Amino acid sequence: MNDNHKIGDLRDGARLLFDSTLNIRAKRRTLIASVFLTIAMLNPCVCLNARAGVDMGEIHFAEMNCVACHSTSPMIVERLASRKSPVLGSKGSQLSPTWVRDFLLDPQKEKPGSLMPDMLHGLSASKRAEVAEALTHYLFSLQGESTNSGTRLDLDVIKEGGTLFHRVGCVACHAPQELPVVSTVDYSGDAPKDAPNKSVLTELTTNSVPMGNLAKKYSVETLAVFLRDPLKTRPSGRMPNQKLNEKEARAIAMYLLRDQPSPVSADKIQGLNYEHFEKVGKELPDFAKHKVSSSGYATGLSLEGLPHRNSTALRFRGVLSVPREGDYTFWTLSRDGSQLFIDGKMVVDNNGVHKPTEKEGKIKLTAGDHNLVVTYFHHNGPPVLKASWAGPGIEKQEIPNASISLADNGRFMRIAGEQPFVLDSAKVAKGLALFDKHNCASCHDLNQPKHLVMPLEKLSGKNKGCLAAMPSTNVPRFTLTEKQRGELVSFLSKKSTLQQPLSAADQAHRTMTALNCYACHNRDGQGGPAGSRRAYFKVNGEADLGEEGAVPPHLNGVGAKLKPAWLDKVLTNSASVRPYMATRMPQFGEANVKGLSAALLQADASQKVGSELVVHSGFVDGLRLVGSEGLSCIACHNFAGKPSLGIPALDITTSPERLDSAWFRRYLLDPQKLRPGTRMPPFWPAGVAANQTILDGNTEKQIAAIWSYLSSDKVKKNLPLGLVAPKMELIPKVEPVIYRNFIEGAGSRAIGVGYPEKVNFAFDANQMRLALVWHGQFMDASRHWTGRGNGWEPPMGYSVVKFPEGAPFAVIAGPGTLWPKSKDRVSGYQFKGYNYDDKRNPQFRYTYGEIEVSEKFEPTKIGVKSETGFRRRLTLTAKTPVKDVWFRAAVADNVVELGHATYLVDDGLRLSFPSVRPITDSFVGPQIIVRTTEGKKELLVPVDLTEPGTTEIVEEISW
Amino acid sequence: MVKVATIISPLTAVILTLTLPSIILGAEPEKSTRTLAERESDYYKIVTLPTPAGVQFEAGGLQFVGDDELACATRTGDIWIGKGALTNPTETKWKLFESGLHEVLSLAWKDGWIYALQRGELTRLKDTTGDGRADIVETVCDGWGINGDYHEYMFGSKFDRDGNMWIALTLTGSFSSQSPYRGWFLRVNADGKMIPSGSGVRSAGGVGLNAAGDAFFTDNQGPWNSACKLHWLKPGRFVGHPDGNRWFDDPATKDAIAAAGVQKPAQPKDESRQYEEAKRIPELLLPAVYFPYPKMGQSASGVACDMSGGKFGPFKEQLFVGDQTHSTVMRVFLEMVNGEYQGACFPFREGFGSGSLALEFAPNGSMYVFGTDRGWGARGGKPFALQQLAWAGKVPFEIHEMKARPDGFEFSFTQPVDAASAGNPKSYTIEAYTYVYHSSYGGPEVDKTEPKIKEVKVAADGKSARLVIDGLVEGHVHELHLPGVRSASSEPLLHDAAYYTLNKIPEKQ
Repeated sequence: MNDNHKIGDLRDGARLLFDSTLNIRAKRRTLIASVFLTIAMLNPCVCLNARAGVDMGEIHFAEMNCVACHSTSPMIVERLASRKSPVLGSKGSQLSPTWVRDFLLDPQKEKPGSLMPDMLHGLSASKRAEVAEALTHYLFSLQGESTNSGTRLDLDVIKEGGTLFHRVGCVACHAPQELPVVSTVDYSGDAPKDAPNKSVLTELTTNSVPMGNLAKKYSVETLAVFLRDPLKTRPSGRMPNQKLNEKEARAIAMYLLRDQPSPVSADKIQGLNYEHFEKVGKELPDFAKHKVSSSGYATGLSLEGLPHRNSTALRFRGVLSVPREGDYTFWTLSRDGSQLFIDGKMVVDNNGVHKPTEKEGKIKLTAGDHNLVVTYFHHNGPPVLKASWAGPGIEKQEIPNASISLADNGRFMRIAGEQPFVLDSAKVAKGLALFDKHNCASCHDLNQPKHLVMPLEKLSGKNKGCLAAMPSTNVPRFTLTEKQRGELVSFLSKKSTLQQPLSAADQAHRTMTALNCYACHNRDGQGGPAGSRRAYFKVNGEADLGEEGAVPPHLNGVGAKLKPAWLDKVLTNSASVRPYMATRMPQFGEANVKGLSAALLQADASQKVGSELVVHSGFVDGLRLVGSEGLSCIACHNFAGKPSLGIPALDITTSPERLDSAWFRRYLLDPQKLRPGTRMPPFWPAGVAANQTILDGNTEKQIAAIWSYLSSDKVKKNLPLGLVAPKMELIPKVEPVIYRNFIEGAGSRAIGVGYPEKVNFAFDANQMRLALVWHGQFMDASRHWTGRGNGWEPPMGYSVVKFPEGAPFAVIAGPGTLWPKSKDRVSGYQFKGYNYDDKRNPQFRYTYGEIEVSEKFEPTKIGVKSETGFRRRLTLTAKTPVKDVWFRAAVADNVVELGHATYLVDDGLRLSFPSVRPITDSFVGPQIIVRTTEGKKELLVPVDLTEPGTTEIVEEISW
Repeated sequence: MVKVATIISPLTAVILTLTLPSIILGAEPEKSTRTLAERESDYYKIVTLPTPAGVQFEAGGLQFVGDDELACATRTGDIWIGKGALTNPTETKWKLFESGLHEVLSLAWKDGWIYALQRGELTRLKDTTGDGRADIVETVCDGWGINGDYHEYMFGSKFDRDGNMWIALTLTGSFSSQSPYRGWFLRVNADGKMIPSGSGVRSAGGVGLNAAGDAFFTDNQGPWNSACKLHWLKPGRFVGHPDGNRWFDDPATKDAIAAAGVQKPAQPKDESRQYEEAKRIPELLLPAVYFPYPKMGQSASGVACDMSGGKFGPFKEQLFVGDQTHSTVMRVFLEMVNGEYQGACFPFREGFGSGSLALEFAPNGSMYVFGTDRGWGARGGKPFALQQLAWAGKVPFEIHEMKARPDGFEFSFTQPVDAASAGNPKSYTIEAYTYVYHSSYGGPEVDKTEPKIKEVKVAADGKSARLVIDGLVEGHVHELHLPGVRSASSEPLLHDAAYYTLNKIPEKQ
């Protein structure tokens, strides 16, 4: 098949994209490179020819910025709103000189789809190289010194950048580089459920705006600067500002340039990776499960310059260079807890809340590199962390920075193919002259004279000049297909139509096309995320909002919906009201959206029907309607910055600022009509009020009352009933209180039991394990007993001790056998419920294979301090003997035997087994063991079921 | 072209019933200003029961556990037993039987045990000491998954003739199935064994048995479900929402599903029609009845069958279905056509205090309605309500049954009709439509047609009217209004709307 045929198919962007049967993938690169692309052509849902006055030729003419050379009247210039070329010079982007030179040589090769014409096509190859070189020197002479020494690669940042790139809206126009994320619970509605397939990526590349060879063009830092504010260097807003903060822009830049890094350097790079964690408790958190708040590089094992205060934890990772083989001692001195690990083994355990305390540990090390991890958390008081060592030839001293180097990620990212570039003043001078000669100044304003050519009015509309099949030497050569050329010629032949102003509707359509608003928004049947792109539109977090939470709203009649001031605020002042939506509404630059809100307003004026709402002072009825005694709008809608009782639907107190009151009224009367697919139910179906009590069920009065209430400046001081849920503390007064629900840390079938003695435990009926014990208040039920009751509620009290996940009993053939792993539910077990005794204390029952188990907890004063803890009685009954049954009482970093079958588990938990037979000369049966598996200590208690019958384990728990 | 009014609101219906017959019959206009609820109360009275002071008494499940004792399970996990709930409802005395359970939405009773369907398990409870409090809380079955999501709740039926409880498990987060058997219906048999029975559930609102002992559930408007519906839980069939189908292939569940003989249905096409998809997907079972949204309701809930033998009035063995949002009880007549259930729904009673969720018939033939509006708002306006609906002994003039015929429909009435008005095709309006079957949330009525009522034949005894209709559409809801029909004593119908889901036009006998 020949390329010409393919190009013919590609000419009509819209048709191409509708026609999925085209097999164009094989030649994609060359094809895209040879086709002139505008955003309008890339959007499958926009059919430009459908509207008079917004034809393809005019769009091309504007996007190619023809009026830069072909002058015309200010009125026409304004109408065309031509795309401006990138800013060059000191205010432009810092690009790689190699890339700039190669781009000048062949724009389409370096940036497929570029609208930059080839200005050097008429020159011989050697002359072209010379000109490109000189122009590059001239352009870089304007920029000043660039000191790019590379950027340290960080895999975490790259990962974050990838997530952002695919979520915040970049892939609405650009091709995604990874398949859409399918989360465990997807609240984005009807995103395609079929397993995404790699061919999706190829397919999307063909109808996306290409980015060209970025790795050659930018460094991480220069790309980040561009992404942070694209409008600064590309003022026309075709690449809008995606509201990225500095960190986000850098993360996306690093992601897009992730192929840049040079191979691992042979030299060690001093320093450590650190991660910082927030909201930790009174001990070191489980780092594997805790969310990383930030990460980066530290120069050494020091808190200086790192976030480290108040419920914060840090984890340092690096490589320790050990000079000589031998016995080493390590210390940490910290407030509060710290631990030091070498090659995954804990050497120093200094956990817990305490004053500055030093603890030590010993380890034998070989000479060479060892992985070093130091963890630290801070609870209160002045923070302290010091790590020291001593060993062969090393007196006790702080571990010097020189002995610590980066474990991984110690690689630098540098611009691909970058070559040394030294400004040559002769080439600069020559470049300056060439810049003028090739009339670069017409598009790229560097305060140099522009050379105008034949004005627009005199253009013949024939295939001449720029539109010739082979433009002559000094004429720019755009990469045009025959069809595009035809469209331009046809446009020029009717250029007198430019004198007629565009209708408001056409003007709006025109602007929305140029800025590709249609990539995200549907308006009048055009646009909106379609096909496999849809799956990249996501809901933030777990907002259960479906399509409405994921896909930007349609803009049908938006001019009759939003107040003009609000529309302007959205377009130019970053206003937005949908925090749950992952895709961000970008900023296109004030100049580029100027007139859009007015055009929308005028275009949609006829849709502004129905009466306006009059704000009146009596807002009490509105307050009642919004609250739980009325229509309970707050069941779904956030209100005045406070979360709703259920899903986090749009904060309705923003309505008066945003919405035309007549639209608000129409919407309330028939939500589906104005927003098909909304989950907002009609509260006045066919005009009849669902609530017949308030305002006697008068529909109009009710709607006006809600509007008046929302418009009132007293809203925040008069919140609707039911919005702020008070705590609902469950208090065991005379007998135990049971709470079966989603208790954080105890599984989805948790059974919490609180006692009047102010001790509590939670049993996990998925795993038959004791999950939590704690002191003090039992549970706050308000999370589950208000609204829809989503999510996990932690214990209300203090000193919460978490027990390990997994089965309580297992048959272990020998000490080397690992404890069976279990995920959600443990296999071989079945929960059977509980029976109450005469004090309403439940005795839990379950089976483990053929063994029947019951267990009961009794609050008891335990130990020397006589603190209240639990005495737990586990009773196992087997009809046939079972060998090698063990009870796993604890899994922890540290288990210390204190004598009398009593064990200290990590710092705070004490377990005692008074029923276990003491060691005597005559007894040879199994004893309680503490063993180390997979870096953790396990406390295993033997269960004697070698004879049929019942055996009991008594476990005393204090903490 | 004349556009048929698509929504006959209660208010419009009132106006129509008041004005149209006057025009047709030339009678004196009635001067009634009574609301529909007031007129309904002439026949069916609502009595509100007191609830324990200071207790969040939200529905929940209901079960009579003795001649005069009503067990009420609440969303906050209590089971209360109300003595005197039947004989002296306004003086009901409450005692807490058990608390701390995980949102019990359905109750049943067998051999002296109260069965409570919690989120995580089916539990049975018994008081063995006679102090009125449960001593044994025993797990009967917990074979399904649950992951902490608010939307993973479930409803169960009473025990059927074989001792099965039928359970419908809603989806995770209302859109997808993230835990085993979410989006499934299953049955727990008399031995406590769980039998996966079919996929396709979205957001159930209740499960109940009809007079024949077959189980039905209500499912709510949302993705793959454009309007609320009543669905037969027929083992092996797929009831519409495809997300639960993943469990056919999951190692955790596939063997149990295969052992139960349930076959994986093909993935339905998006933006299609359910009637069309059912031709392609043999497992897909069409809803027995759609409750047109929002004309009939917005959140179909509990299902109960009148087995009182006439103590509840003239609707023996018909089904009653709650609507949580509208705080109503609707009425459903089903018939078996071609081996599957289909039929019509009618408005029945509005004005309940909170969002009607659980419906329960008492031994004396009155109905108890238990409501809540937490998280999902309701018109009733009260956060919760427990109410008795008792027949006042007077037969309202209502459509009694609506049956499909090869060339139309046949209505029977609770009172003899006036032959002139009932025989006049102009006393009726009709339109037909269906819903989009798609992955988006909810959907409009589509493919509207206007069948023509050619002729109405009134039976000699005046108790039924046979409508001969041109243009019945298989797969469409047929919405009929009977504003002009009068009883022999010139009364208009108390409710003149009927919505028949015509999955199959019966063949000529």
